[in-house]
Amino acid sequence: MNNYKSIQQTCWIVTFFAFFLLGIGGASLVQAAENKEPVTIEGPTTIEQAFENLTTGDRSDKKAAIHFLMQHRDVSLLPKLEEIRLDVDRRTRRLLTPLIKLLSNQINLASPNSDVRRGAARDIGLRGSQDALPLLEEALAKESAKWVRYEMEEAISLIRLEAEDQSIRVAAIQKLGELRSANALPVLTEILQATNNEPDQQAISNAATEAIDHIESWQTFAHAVETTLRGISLSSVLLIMAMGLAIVFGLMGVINMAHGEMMMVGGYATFVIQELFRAYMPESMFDYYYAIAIPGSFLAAGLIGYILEVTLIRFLYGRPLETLLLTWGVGLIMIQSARITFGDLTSVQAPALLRGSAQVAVGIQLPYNRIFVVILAIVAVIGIYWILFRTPAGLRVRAVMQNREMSSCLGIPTRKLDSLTFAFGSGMAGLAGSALTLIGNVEPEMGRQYIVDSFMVVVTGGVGKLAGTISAAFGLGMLNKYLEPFAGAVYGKVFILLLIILFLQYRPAGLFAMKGRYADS
Amino acid sequence: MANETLKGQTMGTGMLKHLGLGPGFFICGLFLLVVFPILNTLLPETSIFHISDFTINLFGKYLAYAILAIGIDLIWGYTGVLSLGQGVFFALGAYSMGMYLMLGIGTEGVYESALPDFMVWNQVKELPLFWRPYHSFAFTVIAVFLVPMIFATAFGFLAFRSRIRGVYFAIITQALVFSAWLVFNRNETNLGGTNGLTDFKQIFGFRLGDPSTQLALYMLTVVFLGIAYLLCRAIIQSRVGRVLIAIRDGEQRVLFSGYNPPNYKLFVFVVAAGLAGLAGALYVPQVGIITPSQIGVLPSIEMAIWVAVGGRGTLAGAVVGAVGVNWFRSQLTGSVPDLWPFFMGGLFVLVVMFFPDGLIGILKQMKAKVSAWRQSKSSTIEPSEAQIR
Amino acid sequence: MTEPHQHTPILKVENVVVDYDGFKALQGLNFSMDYPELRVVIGPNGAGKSTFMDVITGKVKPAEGTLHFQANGQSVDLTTLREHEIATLGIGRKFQRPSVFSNLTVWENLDISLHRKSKGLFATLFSKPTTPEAEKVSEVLKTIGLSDKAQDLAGSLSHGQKQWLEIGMVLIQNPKLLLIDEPVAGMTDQETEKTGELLNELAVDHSVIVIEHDMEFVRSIAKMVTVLHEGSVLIEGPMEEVQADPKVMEIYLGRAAEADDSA
Repeated sequence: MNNYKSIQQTCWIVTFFAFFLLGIGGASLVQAAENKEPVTIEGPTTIEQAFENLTTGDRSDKKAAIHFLMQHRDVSLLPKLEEIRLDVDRRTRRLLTPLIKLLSNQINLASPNSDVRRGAARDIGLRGSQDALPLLEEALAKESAKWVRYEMEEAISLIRLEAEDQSIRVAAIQKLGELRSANALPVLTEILQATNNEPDQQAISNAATEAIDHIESWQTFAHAVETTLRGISLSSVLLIMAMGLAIVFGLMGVINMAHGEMMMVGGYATFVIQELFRAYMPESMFDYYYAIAIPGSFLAAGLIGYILEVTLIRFLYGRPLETLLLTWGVGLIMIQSARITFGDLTSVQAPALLRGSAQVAVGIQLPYNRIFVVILAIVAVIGIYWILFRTPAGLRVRAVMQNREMSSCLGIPTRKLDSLTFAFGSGMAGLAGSALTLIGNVEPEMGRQYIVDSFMVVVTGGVGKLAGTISAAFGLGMLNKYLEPFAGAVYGKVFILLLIILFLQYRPAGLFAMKGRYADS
Repeated sequence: MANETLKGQTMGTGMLKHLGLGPGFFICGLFLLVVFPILNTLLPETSIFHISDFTINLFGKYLAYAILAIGIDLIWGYTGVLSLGQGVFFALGAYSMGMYLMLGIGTEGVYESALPDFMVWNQVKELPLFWRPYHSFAFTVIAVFLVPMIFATAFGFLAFRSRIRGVYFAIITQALVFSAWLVFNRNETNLGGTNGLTDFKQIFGFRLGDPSTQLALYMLTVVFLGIAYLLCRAIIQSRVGRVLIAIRDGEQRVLFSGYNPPNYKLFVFVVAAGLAGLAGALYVPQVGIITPSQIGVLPSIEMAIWVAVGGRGTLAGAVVGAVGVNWFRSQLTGSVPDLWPFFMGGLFVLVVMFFPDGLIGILKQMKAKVSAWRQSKSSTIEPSEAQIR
Repeated sequence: MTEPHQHTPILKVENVVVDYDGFKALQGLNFSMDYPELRVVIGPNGAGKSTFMDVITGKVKPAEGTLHFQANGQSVDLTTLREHEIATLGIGRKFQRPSVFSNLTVWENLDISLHRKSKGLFATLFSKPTTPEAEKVSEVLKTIGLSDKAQDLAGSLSHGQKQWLEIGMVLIQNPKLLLIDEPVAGMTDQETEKTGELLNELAVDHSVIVIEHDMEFVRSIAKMVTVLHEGSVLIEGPMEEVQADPKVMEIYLGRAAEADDSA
């Protein structure tokens, strides 16, 4: 996970430097373009003449004028060109469009924003105008941001595909293959079809075949990586949910069906905190709401869990089925309360830091919100381990898990411990809910989607060992996402249930069952 | 329940005596099967004792639910195995009947095709293979029982064999109903997707819209409920019934007494599934629609609550609970629909926290109190039945 | 350790190992006993007594070793059978904590435990109560002294009565081998004495294994004693011999004596 973080950091640093460089570099680029002597072939020799030709000349004059202006690349002409564009007929307008686009892309290429530069490079590449080549090459020489460079190289190669010289075309195709360019795939396929049966263009067709192969196998890989990432993020949510459930079940034998609703509470707590910030805090502070929302959602859900435990659940120890029904009923009430209070659908705006995504490789994006969920899960696991195995409270919890009567005799306040553990478990669900607001909507039934899966994790993992919960969460989460492309989400789920039932034939007590004396009690 | 088991121990002389049927059974039967239909058909609509067609239809639905509830009681109340997946078996019965009724529409549908409307809509060109046998009424009747029972056998065999029990079983069955719900929702399974099966026209040549058809279906439901009740009663009062209670009280002891509990659990699970299927089949023609939303996770867990509200471990309790809760739901959703989830949720809490024996339990307590009060009044020393226990 | 028997023992346990995730609850246990015989198994906590019973009754499968039981003139390997099959073969087990069916009457408790040809589902479904069965139930009721409680719910019995009922339920299965786990725990002195008599009566035509902590009680009933320690047999022999053994004094009796003092 540190990996992701460092990637993110690198990105920030790179962007920062890009800003810096472009502050100077961007201006000098414009200047350089202005100072450049125009290379004339024929037609107009001055800008004035070119403009003259554009408005009054015949079609070939106009073409020549546009060609001249393209060579000239003076962005200051853009407003004037736009003006002309409004006046001329449609055919001229069509001739003018590439020129205008080129000039505006030229401006964008000098933008301090790397995303704008990327967009410009991509646009140039897809337009495929030979006249843009020098522009791109110049920009590339000055560019330092990795993914902008990538986009520029891709654009250059895409343009070179149209070159006359066969060796340049082959080189471009090879380059695109190396770049694993997804944008090039349709063009390359076209080229392959056109050159496949031409003996004199064998080199091109061979290069294209190879490049397509390269790109496609990369895409398969990238797709697998993205599926894995989605699986990890789903697993993380399941894990945070299931750990709360497993601890509560392991310690108290309570099946908390309202666990999903605790998650919902976390979601709405986040929402409410966001709204409060919107209403009472200055605009610039808005993004900090999430820093408050994380502990806030934990505390809100924990508090409700505590109340639930103290008022109802503590009277039902040793009757897990009863707790199951009771908490389901409580869940129903909570859902309806949320629906009446908040309406059906609300959503939370993620703070700027968690919007967007980091690109780690061609075609592989890491959305920050999902990374955050994964990090949160890891922090939660470490936190739980730390509490359970490094604190006196955790020692007591473990003692009560193993032998309630004996612990009670030793003076452990089991009742109080139960309440706090239940509150803690609920708080975990609240945390999961807060994290989920970054990914999906906040709605009254948001917990219900996860509750069945979370319980499957607990059942598969076995009760009493966190390692079981963790491996089951990841096993089921990943399986879910890996099966989706083949079987579809629905049949994937059915298939997983079948697998679990079959798995329980061999390991009735789950992955990591406690064996021995306490196994049956 | 103690009452039943006690009586069951006396060696049976007559069938009725052996079953220990009280007058309650016959009085209920008389009311449901004779008095209600008479009040419905013979009295003028203006009479205050008149029972409307609508009410008859509603009660037909409730009583169908009661059949399912009896099954849940058998497996949960008596055997202690809580299944949160009865909706699946209800669905299998209901969809079996629904498919028959769908095909019975013939070309009366909106698209005037021999295919069900939703298939035309989904551009299915010919009737899927598994639909074809449902042209036959006889096949449908068999399927209504057999499909859920076979499914229950396969699932139950695996679940009970690996000794999944208690909350684990509840959770797994909930996952089962969740999966089934997802599958029924899909269009490509050719079961009507989210909209389910509906717009039925006729059953066995009778128009479903006719009040007389609905009355007949209602009476059929009553008869089946009676049969289901007697069947379950017979099971409970046999030795098997005692083994079931024994499994609930101490499965390990049963195992070491030489019984194989998984077989017994599987048996009641399959019986309960058959009853759920029957309930579904009776439900569909009376309600006129079956959709996945009627069989999902939420309806399935509510079914268990009906039984808890009525009183676990008494068959009468299951019937009372199913009819009572659903009647109340109709009343409440008609007037204040927003309050229903609160009420339902509250019911879960109340019945678990304060009335674990349900309505029947409350009734029994009141009875005991009354008799104790009478005793103290008449000041006889003879111990009452309640005191012996 | 014991003298070789002339006839085949009813139960022969050889080299049994039970492994709970690396913790060896039994390590190479050897044990055999005759029919009829009363054997008391003692040992400190964690010696493997309960696991020993679990492994005989099929609740736990051994990682290694064999268990042979003499049933109907044949030697049967218990490791291949499941709990209810072992019970049907003629091995009855009484748990430490009384486990009776509290929502059934005493009569029904015994009735369903009664030995029958088959306890399969369909056989049970169609079985009718018969007069010989009723007589058998009455007889056992008399043996365990609960005749006047026949129609009471088992849940309403006292702790000692539940223990006897459970012994009755095991008895009525008609077992050859009876495993009884701490029968007198929580009993009054009077009940304890009565239980001792009951066990000695049973030992006339059954093999009985008793696990017990109460040394007073062990002395009062035991002829042969097996001492388990750390998952295997430490010593086996008549009570006097075992009591005098220094090893036993060290690991068990000494501690038990301390415990007795403090109690």
